[in-house]
Amino acid sequence: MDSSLSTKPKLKETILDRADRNKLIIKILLFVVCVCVVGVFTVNDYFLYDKPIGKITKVTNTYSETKDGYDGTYSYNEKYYDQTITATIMNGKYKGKIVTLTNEYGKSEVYDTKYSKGDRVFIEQIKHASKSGAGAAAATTSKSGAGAAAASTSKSGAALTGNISGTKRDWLVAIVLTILFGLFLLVGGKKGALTILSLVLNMGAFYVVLLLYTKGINILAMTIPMTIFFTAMLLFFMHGRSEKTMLSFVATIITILATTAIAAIVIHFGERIDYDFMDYLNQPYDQDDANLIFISEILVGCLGAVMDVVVTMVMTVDQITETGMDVTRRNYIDSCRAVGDDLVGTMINLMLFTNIAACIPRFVLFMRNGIAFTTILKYNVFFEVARFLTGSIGVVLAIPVSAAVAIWYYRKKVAKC
Amino acid sequence: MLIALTAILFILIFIVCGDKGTKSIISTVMNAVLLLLAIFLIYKNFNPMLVTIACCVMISVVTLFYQNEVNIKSKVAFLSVLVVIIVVIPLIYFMAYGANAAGFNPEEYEITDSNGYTRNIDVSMLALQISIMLIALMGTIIDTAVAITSSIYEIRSNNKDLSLQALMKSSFKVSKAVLSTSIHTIFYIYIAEYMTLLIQYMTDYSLSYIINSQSFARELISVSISGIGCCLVVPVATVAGAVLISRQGQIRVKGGVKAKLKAGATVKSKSKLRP
Repeated sequence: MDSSLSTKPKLKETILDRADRNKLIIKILLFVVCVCVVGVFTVNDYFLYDKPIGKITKVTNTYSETKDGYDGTYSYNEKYYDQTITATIMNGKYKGKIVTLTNEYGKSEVYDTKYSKGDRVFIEQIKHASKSGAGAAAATTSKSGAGAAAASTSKSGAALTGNISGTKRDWLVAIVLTILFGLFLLVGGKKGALTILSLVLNMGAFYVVLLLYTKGINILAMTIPMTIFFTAMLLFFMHGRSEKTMLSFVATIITILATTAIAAIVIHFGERIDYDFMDYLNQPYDQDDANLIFISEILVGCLGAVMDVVVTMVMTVDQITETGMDVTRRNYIDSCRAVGDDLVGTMINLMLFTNIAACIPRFVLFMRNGIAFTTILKYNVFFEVARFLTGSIGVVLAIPVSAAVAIWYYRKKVAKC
Repeated sequence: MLIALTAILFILIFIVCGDKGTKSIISTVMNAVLLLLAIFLIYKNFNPMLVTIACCVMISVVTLFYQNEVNIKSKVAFLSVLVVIIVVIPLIYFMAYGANAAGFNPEEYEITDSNGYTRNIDVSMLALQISIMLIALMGTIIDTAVAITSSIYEIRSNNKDLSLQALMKSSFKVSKAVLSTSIHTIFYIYIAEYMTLLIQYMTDYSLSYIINSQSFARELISVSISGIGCCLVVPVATVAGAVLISRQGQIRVKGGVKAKLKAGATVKSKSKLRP
């Protein structure tokens, strides 16, 4: 991070005057300090947790065995290792004590994890490594806290053992968010602050929708008003109150609804979708409910991209109206088409990468499991591909819709004058 | 269903877009093929990191130079994409490694040993995780970089007498607007992608579990990396665009074709030095 930031002032040396440059340097320093403070605090926030947390001080890896995976044609050798981990407990009644943990991992870390020195991990089932099993079991229950503490002090030097239940990741979450928001402010200034505000509001609205969903309300019925709210708020934030905002709003809503309608029709008339492979879907699921979730996903997924295209199109029409006095419908359509063509390519690619990237590990896992490529496409990564396609349809649809809305409005306005 | 959707998409592109639309179909297909090729190479035991980086460079070449043609705009965009990727890779590695973000987590119960999948696949999941974050990043930064450089180019060509500082100022104004729309675009895509995960969180887990869980940390880091890449590409593309485009413009005004060629050469050599 630091190296990237320090190159920025150098680049700008010839471009910015001295006062601006100093301001920029101060801002960047402030940013770095913020990231460091948040980082140091969250790395050491052990006192916030009830569960015992250990900081790994030493790891010994020993090779244990090689297992074979067979996909029908090739077989793969997976090496397994045992880890003996020494960690210092950082909080709770065992604070300061040293605990010995064991862990097993395969080299690929498909379902398991390789821990390394410096990792902070949650530990459960802490007990003394004594031979009397019953006494050790009693010491783990928190109710006999006093007895356990007494036992551990009397046997000072007796080692503790336990199991790792997970990595402590809150500090990374905090750091990455600080960097992101800091950069918004650094790069975007006031607009960056508005972006943060709008993201937070969006998350809030989304939280409410999901909360109501878990209370049993139809998710699609919730998502549509939420989308309208998102769109209105975002456009208002970005462009203020103007006729452009109104036009963009109308065009976005029309496009989104049209896209969703297309998706819904295809889902309705297409073959039954197998939701067994939908990521993270709570099992068992209800087919209709899953359909609604899927349609809602499609709706939200294309929202941002559609809005992006619509705003640009409306701006273009607005510019043309301002500059040219006597514009025919043909001219409008030609320039809209030119701008639209420029937009479509990169937006569709963006859709492709952001949607498809996440399924790469599954692709590899399934292929190494001997599942045919077409089967994977049809079942396992179906939802990602479908979202990509519907998102792209939304992007393409946005061009004629927004052009039509904007041209209709401006021609009417010109005619009135 | 996928076939139906693909057909609808293609028909729409043909109706709505002109020649360039066809070009964008071809480049999207090429990118998809590149992506699948990368997956296939990883499956065939090539180093995932190297494959991904090569794939990323190829993707940006296709998207920028095939689709948008070779000109100063796409050259500057390509340069800034490369710079940002080089800067972000260490960050991605640090995050993915520190978060133990590799592999599949308990929330993804549809793919586990008990459903009959073998885990012995001998492909490093950490490297794959880094690949995902990198590829997801590519789409956004290419989009942002192109938007910025082409708007700088427009500003420049509409107003040839603009000083470098004034050009920078007005470019930054545009860039900020581009940044906020790009951020929202990825934000909604990710929200859609993880809707089911969020529902699962709402129903099952406590806050401290969620924050420390692998699934949440990984997705959040992934979104944030895309956002950070977007933020970084804005100043890089704006500064590089303003400097290089205005320099090219000046030489074009002064001299003929030969001077322009020379300018191209210096721009190239500079661009090699910069990263």
